[in-house]
Amino acid sequence: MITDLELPRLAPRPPGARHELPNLATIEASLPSGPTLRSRLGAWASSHRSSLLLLAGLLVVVGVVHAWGMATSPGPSDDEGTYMAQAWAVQRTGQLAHYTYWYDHPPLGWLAIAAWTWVTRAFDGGVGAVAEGRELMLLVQLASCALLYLLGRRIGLHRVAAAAAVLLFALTPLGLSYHRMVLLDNLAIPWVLAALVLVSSPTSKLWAYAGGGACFAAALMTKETTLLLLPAVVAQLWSRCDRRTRRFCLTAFASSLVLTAVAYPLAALLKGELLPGGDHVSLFEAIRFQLFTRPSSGSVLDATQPAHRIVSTWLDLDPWLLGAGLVALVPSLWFRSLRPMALALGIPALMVMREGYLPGPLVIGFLPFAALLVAGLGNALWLPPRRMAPREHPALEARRRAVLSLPSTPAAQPPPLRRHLVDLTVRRAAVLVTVVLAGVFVAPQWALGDRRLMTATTGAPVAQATRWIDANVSRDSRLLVDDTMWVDLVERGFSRDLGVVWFHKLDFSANLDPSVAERLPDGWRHFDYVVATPVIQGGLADLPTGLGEVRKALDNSRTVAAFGSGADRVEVRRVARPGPPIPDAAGAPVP
Amino acid sequence: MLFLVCFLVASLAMTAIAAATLWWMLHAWRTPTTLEATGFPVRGEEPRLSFSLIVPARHEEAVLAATLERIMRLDHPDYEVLVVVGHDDPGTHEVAMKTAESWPGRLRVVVDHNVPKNKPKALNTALPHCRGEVVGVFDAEDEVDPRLLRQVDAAFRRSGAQVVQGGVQLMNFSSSWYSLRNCLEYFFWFRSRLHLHAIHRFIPLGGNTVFVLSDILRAVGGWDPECLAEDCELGVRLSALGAVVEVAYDPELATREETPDSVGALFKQRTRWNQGFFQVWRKGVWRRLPRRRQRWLARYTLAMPFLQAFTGLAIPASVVSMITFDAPLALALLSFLPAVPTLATLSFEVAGLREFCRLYYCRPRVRDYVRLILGTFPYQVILAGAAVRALVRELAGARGWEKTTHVGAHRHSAVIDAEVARPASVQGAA
Repeated sequence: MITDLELPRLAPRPPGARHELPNLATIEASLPSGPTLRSRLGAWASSHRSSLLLLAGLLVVVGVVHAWGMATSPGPSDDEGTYMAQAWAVQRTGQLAHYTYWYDHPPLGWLAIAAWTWVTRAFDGGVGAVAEGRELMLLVQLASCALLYLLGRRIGLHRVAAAAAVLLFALTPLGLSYHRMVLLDNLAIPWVLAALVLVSSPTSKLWAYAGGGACFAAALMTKETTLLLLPAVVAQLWSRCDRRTRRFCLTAFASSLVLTAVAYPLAALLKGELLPGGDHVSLFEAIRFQLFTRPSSGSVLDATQPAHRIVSTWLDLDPWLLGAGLVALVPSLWFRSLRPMALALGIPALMVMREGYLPGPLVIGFLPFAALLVAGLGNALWLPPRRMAPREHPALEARRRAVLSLPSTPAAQPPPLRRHLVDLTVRRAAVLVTVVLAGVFVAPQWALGDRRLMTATTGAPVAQATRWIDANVSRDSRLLVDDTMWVDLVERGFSRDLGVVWFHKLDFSANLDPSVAERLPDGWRHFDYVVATPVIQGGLADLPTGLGEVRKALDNSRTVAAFGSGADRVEVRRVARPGPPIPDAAGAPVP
Repeated sequence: MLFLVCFLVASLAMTAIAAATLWWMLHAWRTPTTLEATGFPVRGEEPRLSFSLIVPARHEEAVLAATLERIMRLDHPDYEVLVVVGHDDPGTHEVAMKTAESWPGRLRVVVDHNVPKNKPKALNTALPHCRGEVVGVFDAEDEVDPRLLRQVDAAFRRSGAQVVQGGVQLMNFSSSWYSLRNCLEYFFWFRSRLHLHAIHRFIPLGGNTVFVLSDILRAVGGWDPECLAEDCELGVRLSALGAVVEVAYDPELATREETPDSVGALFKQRTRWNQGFFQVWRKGVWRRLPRRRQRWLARYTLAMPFLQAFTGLAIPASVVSMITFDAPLALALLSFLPAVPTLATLSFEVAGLREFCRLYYCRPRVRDYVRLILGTFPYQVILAGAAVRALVRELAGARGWEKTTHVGAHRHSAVIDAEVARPASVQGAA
């Protein structure tokens, strides 16, 4: 190839000449061809074999416990219905919500659900929208578990400790109950964990920090409350990143986070809905509502307040993991690698004590970090301190040494000091005792709680009621329902335009969208049926002074069909209105 | 519909260009290991090679003497210096002769009789007179570190390379609004980007602090006398022949230079470089690179001034037009996509300014950050203008050498007196 270049030839040189230009063929042959993808995957798999096998086993256990009975237990909640309805709206109508999107939450969560339902054609089947969504939650939970294991390994946990963190996270009845529900928090957790894993890159790879920023932005755009975890992620980045390139890593993380997350306010701006004005919803108003004007849940310590009821619900399911996590929080501050995780649990825990609005699913964000702190503290106490330091992968270490022309073997680490040995025995004994006590007292409670969740059929009456309505109620009736059956009734032929109405839309205690109330000025009198579900009863209990029209609808109706019993009971009630049918504001007569 | 498709393709293309440029700009900081690998080898071995350093000088009476005094005091035991002056430039010639008297034998003056004159011709004039095993090039205004040559010697022997490229750094970042951006360009180029080129074995070499084994330089016929970017051309030619190039950067050892002394001078200098890159593209030697990936890198790198000019102007234009014309939401959001890597680049430039100042012991002030951010767009306009002018000149056959004048603004310690290099005409623009 050289010969046909119009360049001066290399002069023939005497034997023993020092500087030779190699010819192109040898260069091409000598350039590293790079291992193939397959051989690289093979090498990776074999060097991580124990972890991969362990993780596969964990995921099978977690997956079976999670999936067994997930469609009917716990009973469907209104939020789940809402997110499924919003995903339905994305897929079927191209809108961000089934009613006006008022920036209640950023939409990435249900955009992801919509992608899932579109791929699996979930709304075409007859299982019910919420049950379909819960299948996605199974995958999400498996992803969270794998990422939690990886994060545990990256902060220096032994395989056993990382596996313990995964089991604590997934098997607590509190987790099992909440992780099954179609909630934005569940969708946000893998993003947060992925961000933490990426900013813990053992070799401080720049792209990992950019990826971490993007993942955290995705978490924020899935559920805005993950902002509480930002200090933990930044602390993790700061403590893990190599000092020499830290400035650039931090810039990569921050710019990728901000430039991704800015898409949300930018979209609002382009729609003209960033700032309040006229008669449109706005991002600004929504944030003000969520942060300041939303009715407070009161104090956790006051037994009459909703906040107390929410926290009680958590602790009734399982007091142990949250309790142990909070107990582990203070001593884990002693260990540098656990401090960011302590922040991740501590800051949101402080927010619970604040007397603002307390959403029940907030606890989902606590669980991975409580599990990690408990397992991490046990790991830190069990192993001599030096082993907690993150170690460089042997291959990377070798490469680094080669590049830096350092001696090929690392200097031998000093043996642990003798005085640690006594200390270590005490520490290990403490860990062992704790593990045994937990095995004796906590494990049976968890087994019981998990079995209950795996066998209960709390959600069955809602599905039965939906089928009864499908068979017995005329399609031009108007029904007041909760969101858990909204999609299923619309898919069965009821009109989404005021044929089935979500009960929250008649009121402004937890809703800023006036579109429905304006068109139904006479409230309950416009309806033919009201479906009294545990969700509606719970809503009435949460907002003792709100939802007046819903109360009146319940008071002025009689049961025509009932399913289930006790707290799970669902009643289909026929509204008894005085006088002739009332036209709605649009002018169409109601039959 | 056609418009939509075109817009989509253009948006994605601009995003890809800006993202690739950013990623390559950050090469050195990909991992701490990469960063370590960009330095000179730390070895205490005795030097073994002999060097001939060529210093072409044209109308440089003001700075030449100081430059030569400094170069003559390098701590390497075996080197000679050849100053090349024009036969029509008695002022510089006199300065060179006078300095040469103090260093008989080690500093020689070569007179260049070529007409018209340019840098590659000057270098080629000196090449036959070089006695060293290695030929190095410095410019007449360069501030060379006395320890550089020993390190270059070690770098040759460590890497077995045929070419060693050292770092060059513009220093007077606070002289004017554009000098800050100009300094950062050099910083990212020599600190980071060139190392990537060395790894992929396609490298547009720098114009000075570049060292080539003299056998090889003679074998390839020296520099291309008609090319306006003779440094880049030589690098591309040697790359195509399979030369191994070692790029080594140490802030302590980087050769210090100054930015062009006015916006006009910057514009002319950039026009010359762009035109030179374009000439190298047209010459097509890069097509002989053995690997497809290298050829793509070559295409991209040689076309970069033009791509950069295009994206720098098209991105703001597309965003503004999408907002003004009230485009559908998805389309308007899409128009912002290319702005994402652009804004990320800006944030890395802020980090780069901080890093630059840490390495060179100076303190960035708020004013500098403001200049950096506000200067982005005007600087893009200058680059775009220079790119267009370069194309026009090359296609019209205007290939004259527009020389940059030097006033020595980089010689006033690290924190530069802003008034020295800033002409009155620029103050209004700053």
